[in-house]
Amino acid sequence: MKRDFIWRFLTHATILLAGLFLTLLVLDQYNPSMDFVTSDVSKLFLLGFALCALISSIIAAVKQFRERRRNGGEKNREN
Amino acid sequence: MKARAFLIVLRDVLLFGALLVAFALFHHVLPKSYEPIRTVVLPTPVGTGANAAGMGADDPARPEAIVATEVGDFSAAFPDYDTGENAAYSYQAENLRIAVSFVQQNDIAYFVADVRIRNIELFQTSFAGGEFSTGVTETVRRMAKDAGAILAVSGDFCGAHKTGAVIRNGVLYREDSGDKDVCVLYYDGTMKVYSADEFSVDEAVANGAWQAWSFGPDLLDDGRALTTFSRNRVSGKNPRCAIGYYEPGHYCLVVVDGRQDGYSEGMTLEELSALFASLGCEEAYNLDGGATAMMVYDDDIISSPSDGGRASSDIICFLREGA
Repeated sequence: MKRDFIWRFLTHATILLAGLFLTLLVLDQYNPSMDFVTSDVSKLFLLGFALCALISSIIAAVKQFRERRRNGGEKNREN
Repeated sequence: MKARAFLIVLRDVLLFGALLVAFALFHHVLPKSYEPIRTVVLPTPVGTGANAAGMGADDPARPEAIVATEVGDFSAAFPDYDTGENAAYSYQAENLRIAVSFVQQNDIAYFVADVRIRNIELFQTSFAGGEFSTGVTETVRRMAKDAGAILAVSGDFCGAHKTGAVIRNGVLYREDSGDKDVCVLYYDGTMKVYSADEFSVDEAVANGAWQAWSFGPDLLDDGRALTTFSRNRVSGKNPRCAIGYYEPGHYCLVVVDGRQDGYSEGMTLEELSALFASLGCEEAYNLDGGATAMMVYDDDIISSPSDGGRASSDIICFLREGA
């Protein structure tokens, strides 16, 4: 239950941070001198984005793996 | 189920807005001041050859030495005539001559301030709030008034950027030169623009840098107009602010109005470069433009900044005599 909550949180955080970086990249095209993408703050957000994406992807991959194994086990039982 | 999905999307949208606000707050709202890193050791005055060293001063056969002017003293080239006879605004003082012309043609309006100074220390810059910091801005007019300037233009908005060498009035505030062209005004009055690759802050400091701006791009190649620039993403028609160099003690500041239909569209970098070449400048350098570009003369904004202008972090200014 707790793990599910963390995963849900991470997936939404990933969506939000992805949106933020898409916005920053568009702004950077118009005004590169503002350092929207390369500033220290952006790098901190980028670190958060990478960590959220990494952890949520690992959880998703593990979930998929377990689901596949469970489905495989069920199929074997049916056979 | 639909209502729940809608609530989740709504929550994410609100959180996204909050995230943008948080980013803006940390990126360019919260002020951060910088301590001066070091004061540039300015060149010692040029002496008068052997006499200056005390050698041969008593030798009657020795020809009288030519008295060289001190470094940063441009008295020899300082005009003894009124430079602003036909100018829209003119300030003629003992050590400072300013003539501001206004030109409007082909949907482009711009101001050219021709500036002659007797001494390099009359070429001043000033920060919002009186010290170099990020996240602190003031209007150009306010900064000019506080400094006691007769003429001021917006600078490179160094407080909005995290990188870029900052040397002001002989003090080094930021060493990281970043990836932009750097314009250096030396204490001997010469101005040189460097690409990011060839610029060395240590070398500039060692050679007596008096001011250094990091914005760009470079607008001239040995006095010739350019058609390609190191930064092209802001090359379209825009309001502009730029500085030009003729010779030690003789400079010009150009502010181009823009983004105003029926009055002035602004200039492309190519047009700006051609303007400086036609003015006869040896070097020219683009400063922060857009709504930042502004010229203030005698406490009045004489240019027409787009969207009413915006506050900036620094100015280039020339002070009233006796200020």
